[in-house]
Amino acid sequence: MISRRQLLQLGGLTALGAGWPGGALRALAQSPAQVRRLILISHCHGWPYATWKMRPEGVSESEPWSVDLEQLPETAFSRPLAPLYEHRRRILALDGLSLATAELDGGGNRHDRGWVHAWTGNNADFAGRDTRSTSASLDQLVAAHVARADRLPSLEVSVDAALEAGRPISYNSGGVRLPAENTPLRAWNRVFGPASSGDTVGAYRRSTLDFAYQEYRAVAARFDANDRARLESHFGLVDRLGHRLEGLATLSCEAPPRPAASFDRYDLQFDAFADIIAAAFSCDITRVVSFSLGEMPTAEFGADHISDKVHKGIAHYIHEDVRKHDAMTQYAAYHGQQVARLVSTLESIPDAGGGSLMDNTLIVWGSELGDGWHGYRNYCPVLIGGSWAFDTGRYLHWPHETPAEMRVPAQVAPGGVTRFAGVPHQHLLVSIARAMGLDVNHIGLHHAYGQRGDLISLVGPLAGLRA
Amino acid sequence: MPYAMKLDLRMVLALLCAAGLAPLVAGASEEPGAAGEAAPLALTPTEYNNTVADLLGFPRNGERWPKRPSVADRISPRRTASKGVFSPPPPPDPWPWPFPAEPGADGFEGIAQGQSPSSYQVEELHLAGMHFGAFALLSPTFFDCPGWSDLPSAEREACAATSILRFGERAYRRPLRDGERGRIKAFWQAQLAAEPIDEAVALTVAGILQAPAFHFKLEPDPTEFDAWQLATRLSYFLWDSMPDEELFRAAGSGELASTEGIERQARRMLDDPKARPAVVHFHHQWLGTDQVLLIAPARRAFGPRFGVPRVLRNTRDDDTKWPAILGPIRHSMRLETELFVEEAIFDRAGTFTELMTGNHGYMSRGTAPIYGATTTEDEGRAAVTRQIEYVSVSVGRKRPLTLDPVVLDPTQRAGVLTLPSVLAIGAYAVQPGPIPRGVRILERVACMEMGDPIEGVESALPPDALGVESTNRERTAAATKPSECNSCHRRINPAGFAFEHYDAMGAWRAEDNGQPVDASGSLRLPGAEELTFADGVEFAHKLAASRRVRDCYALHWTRYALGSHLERNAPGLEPIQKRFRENDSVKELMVSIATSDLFRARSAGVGSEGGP
Repeated sequence: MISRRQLLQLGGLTALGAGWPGGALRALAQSPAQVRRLILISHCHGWPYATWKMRPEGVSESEPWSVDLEQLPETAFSRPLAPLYEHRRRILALDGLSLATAELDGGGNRHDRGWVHAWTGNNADFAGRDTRSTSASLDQLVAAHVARADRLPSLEVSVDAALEAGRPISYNSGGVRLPAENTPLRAWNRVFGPASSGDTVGAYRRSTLDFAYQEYRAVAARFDANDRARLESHFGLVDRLGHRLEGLATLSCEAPPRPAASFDRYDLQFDAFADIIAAAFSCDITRVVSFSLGEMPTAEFGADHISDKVHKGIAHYIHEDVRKHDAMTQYAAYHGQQVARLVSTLESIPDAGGGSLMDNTLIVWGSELGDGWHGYRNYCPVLIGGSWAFDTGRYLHWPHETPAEMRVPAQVAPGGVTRFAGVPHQHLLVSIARAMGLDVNHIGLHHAYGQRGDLISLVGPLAGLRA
Repeated sequence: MPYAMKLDLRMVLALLCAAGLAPLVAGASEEPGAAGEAAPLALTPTEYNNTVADLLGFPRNGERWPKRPSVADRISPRRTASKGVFSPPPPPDPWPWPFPAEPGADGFEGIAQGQSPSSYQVEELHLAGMHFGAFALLSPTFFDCPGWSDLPSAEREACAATSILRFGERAYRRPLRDGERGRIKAFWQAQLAAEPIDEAVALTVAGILQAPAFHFKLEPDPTEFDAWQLATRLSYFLWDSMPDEELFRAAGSGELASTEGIERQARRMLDDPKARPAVVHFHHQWLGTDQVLLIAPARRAFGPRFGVPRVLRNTRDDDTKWPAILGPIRHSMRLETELFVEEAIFDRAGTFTELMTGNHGYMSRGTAPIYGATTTEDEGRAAVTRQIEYVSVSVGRKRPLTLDPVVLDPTQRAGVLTLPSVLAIGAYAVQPGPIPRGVRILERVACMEMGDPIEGVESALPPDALGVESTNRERTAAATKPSECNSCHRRINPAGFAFEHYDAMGAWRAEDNGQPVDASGSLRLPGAEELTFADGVEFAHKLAASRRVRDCYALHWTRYALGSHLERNAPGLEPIQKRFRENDSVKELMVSIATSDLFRARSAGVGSEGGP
């Protein structure tokens, strides 16, 4: 991990006081111009819902409810959520959502459908050589809104373990998946390389942009005002792209140490990525990150006695093998520990605009599926941060009332199908987008039809996130 | 002074040289304020990719391009995808560049009103420029001299310099002006001073590919085009690409100053194979049939037709069978549409009537269950096999897809509107969609502005479900009966109900929910035309003969050719439409547009919308 001292040096920022007043998080004053940041984290194989969920005494399965996590002891937290106990004031654990539209979409493998729907809210496109989306992913929509013109609009990273790589969760507006940097060294090079190496490539690219812009300037006078404005809208962006390349090459903050070329443990790789993300935020090199978590080696979370493959050795069998269900619980908990460390890192670094980086960051921890059985029914995302937009520190529950039939194992529901689904996750995507400043009413699909023909509206935010 | 008047002997000679290998010797002067260039239309993604292929002398097939040169990675490394999910991702082809789609206007790309740049698009154009700039080093046509890489240093530099200027002329699609020539030379010299010569060449070409004169089709103001810009408009209209050497020659020689000269070139270009994909591309946009690659018919409704049970048999079944079937079907529908359109216009009568009523289809193994037993093989035409790609079980597959020519039952099919592609994009997962089908007919085929539906109207639509108690027509009619719906649906519904004989995948059906299908109706078009029909086949025949529909088709083509939202009553449009009404020929319509006053003037789009 980068030491706190190193990170403080990066941006020349003032250190925070040693202790944080317990209730200060929600009270932090936010300037209107405060920089907001977003991290999307997506892990493989969903959650084992039975051990993920929390059921404080007296709650109902058929009613919506929420509980204040600060009032619960650590022992009341479920195993996958327990690692986040120390950050409980920042979190919103969402119980009752589903990837209903992924179930309704007709094509592809359920993994592919799941990750496209989870992060774009839209149908997948399987008619080419690679799985594509039919609209941009949430991170790209947000990046287009919050990015600095002279910095990276977004950073895509992936912990690619030996077994299965991180899923492609970031899609551009053309539906093409964006490549993710899959080693910390590559991510470091992308973020800090231009400023550290003199960036010959950036200079090359800049020269061609300058030529194009100068050609525009040379002919601009020939056009009337309307047409000049039309050209200006294009070449103004060309000029801005040049400034971005220059901006990245002339960063004033120091780069953190270059990470190792390889790591022998998934955990260490995660932490190295987390450090780079934190440093990139501290230097304001980017404001949006998608962080895709590939499959963890079973030895790392203590399940190698069951199988050496999470996907086909464990995850598929969570509903028929108690040991494997337990292993996936440990899998989710292990990711929970990693996410908690990322939060701690961001908390330890002061933000130029006040508070810590974490105070101005929203982390969305989701997945490609509801569970390892390939189910979409119980989708269990956790929001961490975003207290400027959400009333955090709660566990929320909604009953399943959406008229979409969801596939489940026969031991869960007779016939292998439930009559209703949870709240479509698109509403959460809208809430996140709005928290990041986008004025939108839907993300991806606008509506869908259940198998019985019922109209399912996907418009509007998720109710109850702001008390 | 109009730029056209500056076409002097030097330029004519220069263009004649350009037809060979020599660079242009001089250019026009660049006087600020002279004959203003205007209406800057950007190259569309299709046009950009076709243009760089033609500029660099490579085929329009990425698999036949050389491997991306190492210089490309030195000047602009391409971020590579991580090692993949369940298999390594396929390497990107050198060509085409995967630009984001244009938002479009009137349903078409390349219309000024539908082009607005985004930072993402501009970055992609920049990266594409760097990518294709490096390919100049491998291009069979770029260098003026043979064996460039083996030449002595001084000769390499000299050859590169002249090659770059010649490339600039072709990229800008006209002679370089003095100022441009000087700036390109200066840019080249600056790159050469700083970088190895191969990188300097690539960077200079990359700069040219980002310049306004390449990326925008710059047009003069206010009245007439010069010959170069007319050639540019003509080639992007008929080929979706830049002019060839013959068209440059015609522009340089003054041949395009006459109607006869333009007509001669237009006919030549329509006979060129490059016209075929361009014409097909127009029709994809006209009817939205590219979207057929995204159709998602429900397994619970259509699985049994293809040997797949309605519901999963066991929990381990990862429902991969249905997607594996759908992939080739989607591609088959799209390819059939392309073959149908191309054959109707280029190999058969070439008439609008043929397009709207022909019954020459193409059927693959995947779509055979859709067509059923009423088709007959057509031995007079050859089968067509193409490579298709689709994702199945998370892995990209590349397979040959063969379409066999068939004769479709003329009592069941008539023309492009009854192709499964058009019908399937007008459907929900289970039931056919008379409303989207009807709206497509009214807006795209009859040029009737229907406006946006009432907010939240989706909730009023009939359920898209199996096991309903009435026919699709009855449910739709009931849902749209309220008076606030009726003002539009009195037209939308009949146009959509006409295709009730076709289910959501485009298969013909005699019954719906146990009841005989009623596809009859009557549609009143603006202009007092009343089309009464018994079914979709008769409707298609009546649409083909309709004055309104023919005028609409001619309007779409004219807008597309001009890149502007031309109003329906724009001066100069009527003669084009009149001739098309009389001769029915699609290719003649394109010649009429190319030789029209509208096409030869910059200003278009006057007129005002009136009536529905």
